[in-house]
Amino acid sequence: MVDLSDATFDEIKIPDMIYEHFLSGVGLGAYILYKYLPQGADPLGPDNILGFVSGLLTGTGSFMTGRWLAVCKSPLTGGFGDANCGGTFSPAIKQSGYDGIFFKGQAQTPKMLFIDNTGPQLLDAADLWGLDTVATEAAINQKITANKKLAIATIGPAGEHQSLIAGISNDGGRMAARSGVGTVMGSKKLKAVVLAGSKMIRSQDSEAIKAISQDYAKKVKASNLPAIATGAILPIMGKSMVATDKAIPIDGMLSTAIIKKWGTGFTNTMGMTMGDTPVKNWKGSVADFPYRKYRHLNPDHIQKHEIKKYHCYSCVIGCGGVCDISGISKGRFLHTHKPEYETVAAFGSLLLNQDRDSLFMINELLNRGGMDSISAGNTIAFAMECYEKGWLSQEVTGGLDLTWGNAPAIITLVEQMIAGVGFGAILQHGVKKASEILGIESAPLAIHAGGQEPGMHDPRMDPILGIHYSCDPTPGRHTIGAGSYYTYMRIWEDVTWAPKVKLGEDKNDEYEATTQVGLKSMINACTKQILDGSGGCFFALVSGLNHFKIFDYLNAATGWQKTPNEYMTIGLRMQTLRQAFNVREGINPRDFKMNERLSGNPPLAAGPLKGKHFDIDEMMGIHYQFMGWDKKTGIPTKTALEDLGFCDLEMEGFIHG
Amino acid sequence: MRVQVYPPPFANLTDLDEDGMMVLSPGARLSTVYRRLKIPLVLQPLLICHVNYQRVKLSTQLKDGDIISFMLPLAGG
Repeated sequence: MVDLSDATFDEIKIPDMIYEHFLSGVGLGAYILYKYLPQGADPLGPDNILGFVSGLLTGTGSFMTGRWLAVCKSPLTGGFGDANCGGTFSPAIKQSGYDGIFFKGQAQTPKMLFIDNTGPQLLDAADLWGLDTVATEAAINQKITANKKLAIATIGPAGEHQSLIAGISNDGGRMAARSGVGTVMGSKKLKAVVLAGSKMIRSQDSEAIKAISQDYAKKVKASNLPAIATGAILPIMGKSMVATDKAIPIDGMLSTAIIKKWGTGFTNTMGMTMGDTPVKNWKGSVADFPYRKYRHLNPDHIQKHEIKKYHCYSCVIGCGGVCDISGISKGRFLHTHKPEYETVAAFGSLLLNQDRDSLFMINELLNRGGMDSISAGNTIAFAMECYEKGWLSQEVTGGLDLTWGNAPAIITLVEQMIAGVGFGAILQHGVKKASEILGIESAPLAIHAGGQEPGMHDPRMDPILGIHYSCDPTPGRHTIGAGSYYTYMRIWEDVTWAPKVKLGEDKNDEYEATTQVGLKSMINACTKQILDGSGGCFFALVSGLNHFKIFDYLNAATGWQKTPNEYMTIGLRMQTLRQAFNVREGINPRDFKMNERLSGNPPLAAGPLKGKHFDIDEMMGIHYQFMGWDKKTGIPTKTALEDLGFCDLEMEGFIHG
Repeated sequence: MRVQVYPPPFANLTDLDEDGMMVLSPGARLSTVYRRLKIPLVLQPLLICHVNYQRVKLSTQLKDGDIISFMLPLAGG
């Protein structure tokens, strides 16, 4: 634990029992926050704790386990906050000799933490303050010489001036973007964390891990698209997926072929015909953004700019890429990371923007500025709808014409949000805050769950996604779970009580708050915790647990002999701890309910999701019930806390308080 | 013999049980599975089909317990 107020360091030895109860990663983060963060701490004050945690499996020889997380009390939601990212930073945390690096206090002047094999040092970073994330990494690499390539996590200007939707960047613009983790880093005047350690990362049974990895890699290697497959087939695939109401269990492994080819961009056009991709601030459909517009987002067009593919640490799929945008940006930027689907959708269909070049520019501006693209896109969509309704004039917007699809205005607004100037100063804190500033009548247009803007996947297509948007302790997340993800995981082959998805099941059953839905959402939530405790990649999870053998990996890495059922209990404990943290901090879980537009209230009038709706209140209740939380309030019950062993963990204060 | 099939969405599912298993005569080939699933000829070149996670020819002879997977896209982040 680094205390930035007095520049001291304290090494905390974590008992083995804690790892057995919470794994590492997000579980370790939740444990530290619950134990050391004073109740009621101001998220932007000195008492908040910001952690950088690696995963239990990271560096053990396991594949697809190179993710790290930032954790803190979120200034966006007031509850538990975390954000997840790949690249090379996760193993660097462990090579520095730690499972997690935590900060409390606030520095008087900008600082960066440097750790090598000799230990930690706090260095002056005043000369870096004001630089964007890419320039910061370049400057640090100039300044510090080490025996290995530095792993650097940094904030940009958005985090420095404490925009509430700021993230933390590593590897030249990859973002741990959600929950306002970059805002907290800025509040602590911590510009960067720089890692250069080279300590060994050990595991109990490296041969067993190697065997699992080889089997997985062999299958991924064999999964390739035929040359004939172009981006033109993706809208057809999207249509075919919603052509039937019958469930068809799939082999997630072969989906890696499509991710290998296009990265997440394959959803750019496929999501339009499926109904997965939101349009026009979530009130439109493909009828508002038809083929002649969305065809510009065909991932083949994005790929034309790709000059290099890359893999995160320990990844065998490799969805990342670097694009040449020197021509597009008129020389302002040379490169950008290949835009992720989330960014393309948030600044494409959500804003009715078909200008592909603008998406490359916005992507690089946000990566360098250190701002969450999902939150920023949702917030601008809100502003455009307000403008359309006449609630915003050009006097208020500073002369910006916020007509749907006006790409130059969108770019200007993104720049203003990052700098915290002009009309961007109103939008820079996300959609909830913007709505509060603009007036109560705008609230129904502000699409968020508990203050966090949702990912670019529509719950009206997959209602279980809406449960997770509304019930997760970090709401609005598209990576926690969905009915489709449950099907891909095939977890019923490992967990004995998990319901099997049967061929031909009616998918419409997921629009009702049934036992089946409650079980699936509960299992999704627990599995995601296990993944985030391990440093695992979401794309490995949905390639299927029959291939990505995370339970075997965990046993091999630790020497434990736990069953998948026992790991699910660990996942439940981790998720319950995060929920308990929120309750302790005064959160009413029901207040995290997503905007009702996302549950089809009112229903869409056109497109593949026409007429779809579900009762989100009922769905939240059934999820709470299966989690062992009170069905009405979402508060973990005393019985559940006792059953999960919290009494043994010096957490009686919560249980009996 | 029984093989596990992960079919594409437009397939005819009547020859699969609720676990996705298909009963075939001994010596059946992959082309038989295509025929039983009634996969339109025009779409066949666009599909990726693996048997036990390896690309094989349509004429490949199947054996009991084989896993036949057709590629399907999924939503991503």
